[in-house]
Amino acid sequence: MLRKLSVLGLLVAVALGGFAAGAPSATAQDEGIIFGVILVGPRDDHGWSEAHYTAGLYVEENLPGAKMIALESLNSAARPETTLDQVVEDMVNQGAKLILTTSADFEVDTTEVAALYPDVVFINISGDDALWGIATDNLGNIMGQMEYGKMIAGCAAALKTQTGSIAYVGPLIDPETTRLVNSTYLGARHCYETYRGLDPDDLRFQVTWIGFWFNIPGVTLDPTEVVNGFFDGGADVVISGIDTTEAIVVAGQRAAQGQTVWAIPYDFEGACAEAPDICLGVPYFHWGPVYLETVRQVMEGTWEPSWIWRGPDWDDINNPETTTVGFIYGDGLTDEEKAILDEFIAQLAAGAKGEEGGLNLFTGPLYFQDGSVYLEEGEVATPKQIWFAAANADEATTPDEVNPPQLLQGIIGTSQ
Amino acid sequence: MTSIPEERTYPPRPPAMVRPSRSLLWRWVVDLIPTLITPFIGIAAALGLVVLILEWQGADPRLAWQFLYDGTLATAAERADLMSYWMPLAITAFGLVLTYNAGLWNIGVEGQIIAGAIGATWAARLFAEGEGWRAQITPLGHGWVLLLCFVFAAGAGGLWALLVALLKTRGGVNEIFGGVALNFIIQTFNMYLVSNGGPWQPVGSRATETAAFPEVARLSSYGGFRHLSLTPIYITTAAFILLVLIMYVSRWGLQLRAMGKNLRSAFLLGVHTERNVLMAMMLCGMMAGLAGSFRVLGPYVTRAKLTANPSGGIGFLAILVVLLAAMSALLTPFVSFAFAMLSKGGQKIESGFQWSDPPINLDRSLVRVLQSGIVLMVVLAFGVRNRYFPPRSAQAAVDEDEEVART
Repeated sequence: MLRKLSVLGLLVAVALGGFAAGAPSATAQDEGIIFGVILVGPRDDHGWSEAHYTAGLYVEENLPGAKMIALESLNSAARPETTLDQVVEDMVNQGAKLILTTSADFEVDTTEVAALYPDVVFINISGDDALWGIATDNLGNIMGQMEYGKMIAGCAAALKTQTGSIAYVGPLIDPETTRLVNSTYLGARHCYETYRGLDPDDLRFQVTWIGFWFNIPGVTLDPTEVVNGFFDGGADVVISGIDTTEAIVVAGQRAAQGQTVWAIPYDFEGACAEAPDICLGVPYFHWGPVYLETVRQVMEGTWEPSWIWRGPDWDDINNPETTTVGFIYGDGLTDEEKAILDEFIAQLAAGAKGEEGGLNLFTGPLYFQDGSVYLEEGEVATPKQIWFAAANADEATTPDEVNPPQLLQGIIGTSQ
Repeated sequence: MTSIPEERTYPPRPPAMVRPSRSLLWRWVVDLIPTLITPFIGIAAALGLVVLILEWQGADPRLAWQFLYDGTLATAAERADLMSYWMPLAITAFGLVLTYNAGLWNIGVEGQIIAGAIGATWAARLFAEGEGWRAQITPLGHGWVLLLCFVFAAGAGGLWALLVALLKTRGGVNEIFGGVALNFIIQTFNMYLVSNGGPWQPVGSRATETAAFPEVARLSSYGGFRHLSLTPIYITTAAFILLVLIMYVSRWGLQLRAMGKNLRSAFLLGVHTERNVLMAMMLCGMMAGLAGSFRVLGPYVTRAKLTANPSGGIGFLAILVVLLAAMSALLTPFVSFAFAMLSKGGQKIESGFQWSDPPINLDRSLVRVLQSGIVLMVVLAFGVRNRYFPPRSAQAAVDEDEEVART
């Protein structure tokens, strides 16, 4: 009992100290806009979450009066006491008029919570509820056409591999991650055949899913071990599909021991910095411009609910003012390889613009792992077929009717 | 095992409820004075450390307290949220008081919470959604579905704990190792259920979780607060009363304490140690399982589902709680409240500083450092006291306890 009183006494003492401190200064601003950014991982993960955080800073720089409030690492392992609706409530109390929830893991909850705050605009990154019309009219979705970035990554890997074995460390299985693995594979096959003159059927391309967007010890597979396993198994290029940097970190360690290995990180512009010499480049999201556009629209009251899937600026995929998806070459590439990639990108650009002689890798015949037809001979995939990595995506009227996503035939790894 | 020693004469059995004599009580009170000061020194040391870190980061510690208070106790909504986080932590800690007093280091409690969450989810799917083999002939009412969820949760948690106990008593596997292994297994099983198109992940879903349960399998919210429900409070209160009765009134509680002091002696003195190990672990697992059900049954839709990590480490947090409470049943509610407040308030401190002008970025793990630091400092303070200023009556008290245990 006395020990109990001592604990209480301490709490009271601290409480009195707190009351003496006075109220914190209010953060609400008279003009401008406050926007919230909710991150699934740490804001300095050199990957997915940092790309979003950086975009928030970009908006603050380019739009006077805009202020970001961010919360990092909202996931059930790091913050067991908090769910999305509680963070949203705090942000709305701080005066946020726009809240960006930047993970697939928030998609379901965002749609629920958006209904509670009709005066606040919600954007779920990478989701598609606005596409199906099952969201309230204060909810939109934004995603970048990372397929192109991944095709370039696959091409770079195919140009480089000496062992003919490329590995992909994937997060979890869903339509997004599946279409990105498929894109990487298509890019790799194309370049292996076209530029190296080798049989693409001899190219070994394997994927391992760790179970979540990043490592949660004891919950997911450890990506460090997965990547080490790839290299031990004969792969010499590892491509990352997860939010964090394990692939390039491990490759850097291996290279320091004298092994000939390379890595292609993901998501964040500066990701090659972990081990520049063995980096073949990084496909990255550049959310800044599309964020800026959205924040400005909300501020001016002209925002409309929409599903945005924005591609690179094909005139210059690394233009910081305009592009949404880019690819930065790494020091691991030779000048010849860079020239080949320049040509490959030019062809993709022509294909995306629908020009004569352009390249569209999502052209049939393509088959899924179970042998079913994805695209018939000569058939070009529709955006929805690409988005859902499913053949029947255009016929479906609700999300449940779409076939589960599948990897393409030839990829080693599980689709479910 | 050792054989029971030869016939020995026991003193006549006293009445079931043994109350300490006045002199014993007095000695206990005197002994408590250093016990009172010791944790205070530990807590003060840990808080001092955190204040130093805050100052070093350029954050005003008094402002930190303000954010903590505003984010946990200042408004009714915050208090309701705090309550919903406190209940599962508290009931888990209650279960641990039983096992820790019996000398059973139930590290597996984290897995038992997850087992409970899976059990509750299974019941919700069977009886509310009619998945799998259809258990419902006519739709069940709200109360029945919830009751079944709790029964399944307590059953799953209890069985998972029983497995640890059987591994210990029959397999010779220390409960710490068994617990760690079973934690890992159940966590992996949970991930299998809800990720990568697992059997409980809805088709087409991109979130690593089940679909939200239908209304009938959610706790009813109270007072208009999204996360507050009275049912967990009732259940946790009942668990607390049960715990106090066991620890302070029943003979079984005395047996557990005796086992904690010296398992072998307790066995030699006629305590059914194996049976008690199984029972204590199972009861603890049932309470942890109920905690797991509180974590997945809502009331609000963002919590009414099985997620990738339904426990979120509250099992490990509860271990710290019980250590800090020196395994005392009466202290546990207060310590668990303080820890719930620190956990929830920690996020408010972090966002409070980060959202102010100019922003101050604190490390997110500061609160975990504080929580662990407090426990470490308090345990250290006790260790230093026992090493350099041993309480005079300590040995006598042990003798007394064993005397009591023999009854």
